[in-house]
Amino acid sequence: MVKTIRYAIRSLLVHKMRAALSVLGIVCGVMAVLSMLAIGEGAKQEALSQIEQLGTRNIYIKAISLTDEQKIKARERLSRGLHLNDVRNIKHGSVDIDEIAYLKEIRASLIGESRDVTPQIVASSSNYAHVQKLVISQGRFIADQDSRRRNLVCVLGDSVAKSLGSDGKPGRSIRIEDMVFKIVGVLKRYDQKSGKSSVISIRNYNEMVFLPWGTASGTEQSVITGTNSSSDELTEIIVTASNIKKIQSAVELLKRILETTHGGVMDYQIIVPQELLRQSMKTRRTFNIVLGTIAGISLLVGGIGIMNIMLATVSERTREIGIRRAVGATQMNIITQFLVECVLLTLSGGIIGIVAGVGSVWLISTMAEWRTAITLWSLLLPFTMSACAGIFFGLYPAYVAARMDPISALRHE
Amino acid sequence: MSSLIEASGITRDYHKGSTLIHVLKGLNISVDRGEFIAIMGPSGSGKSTLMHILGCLQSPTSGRYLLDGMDVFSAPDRVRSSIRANHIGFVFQTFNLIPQLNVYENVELPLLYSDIGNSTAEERVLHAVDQVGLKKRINHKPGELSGGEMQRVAIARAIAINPSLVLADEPTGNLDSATGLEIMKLFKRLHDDGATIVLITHDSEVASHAQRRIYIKDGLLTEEKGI
Ligand SMILES: Nc1ncnc2c1ncn2[C@@H]1O[C@H](COP(=O)(O)OP(=O)(O)OP(=O)(O)O)[C@@H](O)[C@H]1O
Ligand SMILES: [Mg+2]
Repeated sequence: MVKTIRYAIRSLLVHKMRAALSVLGIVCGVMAVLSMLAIGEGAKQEALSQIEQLGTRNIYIKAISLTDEQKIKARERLSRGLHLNDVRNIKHGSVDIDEIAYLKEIRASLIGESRDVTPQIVASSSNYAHVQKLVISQGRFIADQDSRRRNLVCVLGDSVAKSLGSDGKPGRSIRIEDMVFKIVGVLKRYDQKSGKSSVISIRNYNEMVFLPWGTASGTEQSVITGTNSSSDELTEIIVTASNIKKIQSAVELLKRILETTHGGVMDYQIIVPQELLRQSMKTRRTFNIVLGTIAGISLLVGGIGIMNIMLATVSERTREIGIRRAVGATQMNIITQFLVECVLLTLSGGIIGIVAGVGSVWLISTMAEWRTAITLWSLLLPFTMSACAGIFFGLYPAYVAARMDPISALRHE
Repeated sequence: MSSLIEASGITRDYHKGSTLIHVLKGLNISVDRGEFIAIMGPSGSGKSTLMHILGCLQSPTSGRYLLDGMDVFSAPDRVRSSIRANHIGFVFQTFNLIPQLNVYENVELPLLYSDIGNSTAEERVLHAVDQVGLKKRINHKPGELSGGEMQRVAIARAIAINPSLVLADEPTGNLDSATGLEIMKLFKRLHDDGATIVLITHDSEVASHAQRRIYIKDGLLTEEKGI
């Protein structure tokens, strides 16, 4: 067998140009398959890491800002937008829910010297950090009693704390509008994993300042005056389902609850991270279809090209076949010989295709800024595919060779 | 002694355009195991055709051929291939060497398809090449050899498997008388070692080395006994 392979390589090298040209189709096909797999895998990984970050059991309900026209309609139907009442309703109406956290963006700003970060001030429930897996690096997060007692405390995001320098530590104070807040905690740096194609934007917690809900946004009066924060409107509610399997039913229930309380006005949006995967796959499906078609066509055309070359080779080497048969080669030996040659041809095409494919994947990921991932599988599949193409398209020429009558082959000029 | 070759009523026709020519017309031949025979006859009389049939390479149009008691042409192709690979050494009139392969590889060729193991194969090849005096040419391609040298390579290839039946078609046709004699000595040695040898030749001098001479004419055989 080693000798067969060595001989096959030698006879391929006799016609280098011919071999190189005949293998082009396979190269293209393999390249396309590899790119397709790498892009698909990249999309999947990106979606998965986003889901991971957003929490696999979480369901997001986000407020949507309405146009004036829609606002009138919403008022008619008695919808107050995303509201603390929604949180209460969900709490009472649902069973498969572990936790509900909520957050409101406050249009207020940090007072002080100009800094490179413009922090976003938010009021959140005390379980927000837990639900979003935010890690505290110093101090603590907002507690329930902060909200109840309307404590003037805050928790800083990592970038905010850093921009404050030595003042960004628990125990120090910051000024928001006309109030002074004591820093009680600083968040650990948050590694934001949102890609270019994110369906949902992940908040940059590094640039946020958390205030207790009750302090910043009481129903009666807000501590922060002069802002629009004195209402129970919410920006975002995060519902954690009790387990992954319950997400679907929880979502159904949420939809029903919100639809009744909002009078059918869609001033909110429900986002399920699990669905991200499906969506991101969908966006790339068209691309995959195009690449898949290219791969299929070039493998077919390439394969036919190879078959053609092999047929030419067989007819050129008729005499050799006759000689081999005469000294004892079986038909199977002849088939093996030409199949090995053909598979080597397509495999070398496959390897070139893989190298070129890795290159094109790199190009795609830098040019289009798509996340790509080359797995072992995405290397092995095109490799085996090219080997199979070799066997498939080499079979007929090899059969032609094996079927020759030895004596006629010997007399062939 | 039992017959190694037992052929009866062998015919072979060829289509030449629309006409059918009968080359072999029902000849009978029987060769004993360990015999050394020469087949002689005019050009175009069908000597090579007969050799191809005896070598299980070409089927007769009709007739029965038993090789070592086995009806080879009703056996599967695979079996005939195996017989050729393991038991028959061919020396073709036209040498039939593969031009891309060097002397060593050409001689090695039948060993690739025989049941002989790799380690003994190399030894056999070197020995065969040495016997025909081409040791120095072992890495040369056929295109770089003279006609006589190519013929010797063909002989080396035939004897490399230690065949029990040697079929040689004009093996000395391209050789000077001295080298021809060397080759005949080689065949004699093979014969002494127990091989059955069928030699095709024009040359009665060469034929005189055989134990028995057979003449082929008009598609039939006539025999001349003794030396
Ligand atoms: N494949 C073939 N097709 C047609 N005719 C053939 C074929 N093979 C052999 N013949 C014819 O059969 C006859 C015998 O051929 P063969 O080669 O057996 O002769 P030969 O006795 O070996 O002659 P030589 O001494 O010249 O080698 C010739 O007339 C040849 O033309
Ligand atoms: Mg002849």
